[in-house]
Amino acid sequence: MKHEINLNDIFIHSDDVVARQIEDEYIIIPMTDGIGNMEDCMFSLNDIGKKIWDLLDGKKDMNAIIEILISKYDVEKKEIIEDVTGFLKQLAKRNLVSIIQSKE
Amino acid sequence: MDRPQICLSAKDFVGILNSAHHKKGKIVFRAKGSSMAPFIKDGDLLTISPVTFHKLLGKIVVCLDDSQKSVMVHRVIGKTKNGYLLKGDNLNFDDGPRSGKTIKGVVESIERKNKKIILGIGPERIAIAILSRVRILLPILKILRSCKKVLFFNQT
Repeated sequence: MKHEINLNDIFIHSDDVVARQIEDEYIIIPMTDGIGNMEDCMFSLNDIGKKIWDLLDGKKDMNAIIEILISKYDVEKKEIIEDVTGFLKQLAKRNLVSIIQSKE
Repeated sequence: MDRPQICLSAKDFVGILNSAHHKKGKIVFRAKGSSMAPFIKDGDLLTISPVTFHKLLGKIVVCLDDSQKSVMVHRVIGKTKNGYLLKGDNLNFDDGPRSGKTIKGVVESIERKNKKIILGIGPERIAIAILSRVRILLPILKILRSCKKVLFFNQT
């Protein structure tokens, strides 16, 4: 999925993933053609990654997600925007998320 | 976000398996150990499909131990009133009867060094299961290995 992340975009988790909390990490295994390859293709999210993942519910746009994160973390808005958009690009590149709505 | 080196507990592994099967998918993972040699070797990639409890004899299944602390991938060699009898092809003793609830998946395919391995999961699996149950599989495999060595030695 090639897409430049816009702050008005709304994302949702792909249906074709298997995800599970394992100790301190959240493991995501994409299912390609119905097969989840734990050997070659398994991703882990840290605490903040998991929080962002949970916010990708298909209802909140990127602006809303960033505002929520600003309220939780004592970090500059610019830094959060960079981190979140970078993270979403990674998820989109690996087809772990789908875009519901894109507003130019 | 590259693939981490993490250690999954048996319960976590089965959880992932269940989630994939719930989505009508399959999971691929790397086998560890030699309890199923020579049909499954250490490092083989196994594709696990959802289990159907029809004609399970001879099939290689993923089974969660009662304590939920370990997972084994062994062959179904029979069925008793107390459950399914499982046994590693390379082991001398069976695992005791296991409830169907502990069987979490079936090995659909085996891949070794980028090649599909069909021996051990085709129609011959029933014969393998029977030989294993009467405990003559290991002696037969030993004889075959010896013959293979002799033939190889003679050829060279």
